[in-house]
Amino acid sequence: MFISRYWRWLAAILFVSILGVLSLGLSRQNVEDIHFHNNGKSDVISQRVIDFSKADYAFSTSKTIPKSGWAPGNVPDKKLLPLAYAAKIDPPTFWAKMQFDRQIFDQQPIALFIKSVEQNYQVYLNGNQIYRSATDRSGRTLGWNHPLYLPIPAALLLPRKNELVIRVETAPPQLLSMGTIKVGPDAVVKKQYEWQKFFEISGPQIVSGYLLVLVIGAITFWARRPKEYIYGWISLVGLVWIFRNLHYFIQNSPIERELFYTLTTDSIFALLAIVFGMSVSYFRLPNARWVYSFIFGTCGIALVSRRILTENLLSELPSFLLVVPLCIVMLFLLARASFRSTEVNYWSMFFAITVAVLFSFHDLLISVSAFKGAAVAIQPYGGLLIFATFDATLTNRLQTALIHVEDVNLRLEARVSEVTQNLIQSEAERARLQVTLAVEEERERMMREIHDGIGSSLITALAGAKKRMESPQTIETLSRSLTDLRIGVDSLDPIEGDIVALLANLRHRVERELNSAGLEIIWDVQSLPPLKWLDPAGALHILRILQETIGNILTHAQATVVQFGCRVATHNHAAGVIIQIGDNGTGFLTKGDFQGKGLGNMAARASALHGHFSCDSSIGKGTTNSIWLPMENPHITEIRVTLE
Amino acid sequence: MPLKVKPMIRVIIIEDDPVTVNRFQIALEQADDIEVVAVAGNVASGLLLIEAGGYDVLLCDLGLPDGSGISLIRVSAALHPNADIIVVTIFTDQVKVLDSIKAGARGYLLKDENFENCIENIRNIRMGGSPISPVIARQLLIQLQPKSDTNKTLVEPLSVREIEILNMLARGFSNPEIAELLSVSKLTIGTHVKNIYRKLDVNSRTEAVFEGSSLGIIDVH
Repeated sequence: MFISRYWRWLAAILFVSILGVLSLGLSRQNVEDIHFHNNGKSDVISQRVIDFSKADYAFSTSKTIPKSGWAPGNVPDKKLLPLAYAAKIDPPTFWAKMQFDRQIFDQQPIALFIKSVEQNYQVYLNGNQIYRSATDRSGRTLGWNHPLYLPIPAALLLPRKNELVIRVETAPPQLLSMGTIKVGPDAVVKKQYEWQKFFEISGPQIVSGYLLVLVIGAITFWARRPKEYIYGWISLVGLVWIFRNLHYFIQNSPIERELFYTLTTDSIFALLAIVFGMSVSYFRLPNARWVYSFIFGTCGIALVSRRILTENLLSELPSFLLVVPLCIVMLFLLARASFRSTEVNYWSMFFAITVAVLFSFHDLLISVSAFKGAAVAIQPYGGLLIFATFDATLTNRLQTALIHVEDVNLRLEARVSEVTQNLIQSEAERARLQVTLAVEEERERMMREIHDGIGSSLITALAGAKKRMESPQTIETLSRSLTDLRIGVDSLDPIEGDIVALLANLRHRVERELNSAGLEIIWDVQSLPPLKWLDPAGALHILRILQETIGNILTHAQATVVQFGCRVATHNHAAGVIIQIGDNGTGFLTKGDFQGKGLGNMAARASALHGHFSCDSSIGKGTTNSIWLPMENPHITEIRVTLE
Repeated sequence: MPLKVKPMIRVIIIEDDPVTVNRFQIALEQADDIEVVAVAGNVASGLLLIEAGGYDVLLCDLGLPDGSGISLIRVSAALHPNADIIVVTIFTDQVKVLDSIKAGARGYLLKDENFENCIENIRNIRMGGSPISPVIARQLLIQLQPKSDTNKTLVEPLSVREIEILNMLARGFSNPEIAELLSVSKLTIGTHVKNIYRKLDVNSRTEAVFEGSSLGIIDVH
């Protein structure tokens, strides 16, 4: 389908772009820092940049570089705060000292890169202060994700050995660590600085802006459809994620510094809980109540345990390990739900959540210096992925809905036009029926008139004539007049060109008369196709021919058997039907011109219908009258039948 | 002298034309097993006769001065299902005969024919056979084509044999001819015809109930 294809493309583009960003980060790392050991010292020196791994540390609140108390340590080192506490100095402060050889860089301008400038930072080169992050204590900032790029003044540089000293002083929240420090050619260092600044400051800002727009959209949507909890969930995910992202680009906390720090660090568990909570709603997981309890219970325990661990200056790693089973169970549940539904929406959200979780663990691992990874924090982009997926799901739904609406509209239109058509048709049908009914009523009225008038008189006259024993001729004339009348009326019956029906009705009319004359009837009719052209006038012609024939048989033939027949027959190669009435009577000599016995009239009637009449008779062998009628008959001519 | 008396066929006539009534009475006098027990000339008095009952055959005209005989046929069919109803009509009214059959009639007499055959007709109908003309048979066939809506909705659809008989009747074959062609007794054809009439009647009554219930006139529960 169009929608799902479109959607898959979007998902694929998203996926590829994320992979691209990741691989770019990793490849940069590889290109920039090809480490090797130099002069037996353990500092790692790249082709262009020194990435310090060792430094001398001194814990002192002294305002000037301490003369003594230096001890060797590692760079980076995240565990300096316990050492400062152990040295019982307040505020916790440390000095770090490292050397580099100017000659490595030839004469090119060099610069210093510090990965994060937490709180109060001062940098000295060869005893001269070249940077301070704030003029005094009140200017302290929360800059644990902010890198420092510092061009080193060439005038202060010595030709060979140079000494770099860094002073870091902290205040609540106590952040005392030595991050990555690099010295190298200005262009290279600046590039690294900009790289980090983009991914850890600008990127999260952009993502937060994007999330904010979508959150506003989701909340607006939710306000109108409060029963669709997924919009509430996604709004919550967005809000927590935006908050979580704040520390990447905010240096001056909007709230109390310590509280902000605590909330920020703890928000990782809230984020995890809310993302999984949202997934329960999105994937419509069964036993939701239990799953919610599991998620929020685990995250709650992790949060509390982390508080306790950090208060006691212990590693917070166990708290993070606690959520690993949660992540595994949840991802399993989501994968199972995706498998069962096979909906692309499910699979993409599963993918987005998985990547977001992996991003978080990636950041966790680099924060405890377990590995270097992409060198920058990528967690903010997990939110981007989840939201982009949700966005795509919404777009997909909207598209489906729009197509559905269009489809429904089309079908409704079709239905309306169909109904209109039907209405027109039934209206036409009704009008036709009305006409038919009117004709029928009129026919009936006229027939009733005829019956009550002529018919009634004829019946009475006939009964009277019989009673008075009048001449057989009178009785026969009256009787035939009555039959004439009936046949005339019968011809008006709507028989739709059914010749067999015409014959059958005729039989019904004359059977008694034939029987009382001692004639046996042989009925030999076959089913015939209807003569579409046959109207009452045509039917009357045929009936009159047949009646005349029957009259002749009764009057002249002295027959004992009369045979009625009809079948399909051709005449001069034209398709048609033939009706025959034959008797076993005396027969007569036929003359070519059909004079007498009404044969001429019969022939005239038949030719008026573009048919053909023939009379086959010979003395002693009976008579057979045949009427052939064409199947197709465009013109029926009116004729005047001359009475004998 | 004890007579071996056949059960008398009691007939009532509802007909407004005195000439026709007279002709009936004269014709029926010929039969010693038929007795005209009452005569009515309009719907109102006809209704009283029907309600009183005590008849085996009802001869009923359709065009009565104060209404249609069809309503009387319905009442009789409902009150006295064992009495046979014969419609008396003129020869142009074959379609009306069909309506009467649907209302419960089982036979018909044409006014314009000599009533010589009406005795035979009444006896036949008491023995379980109904008359039918080719025109009526044809009308029935058109209405009851296997694909037509009427046959599908028929409470008891017509059997293949019944359709076959209707077909032959419509083509003008007489009862004896059909009986011979189908190798059945001559009387069976009349019984089949009566049965076809009954099925139509049952159906039209169901339709009436359906129409009534859909109009809210009859409470079907």
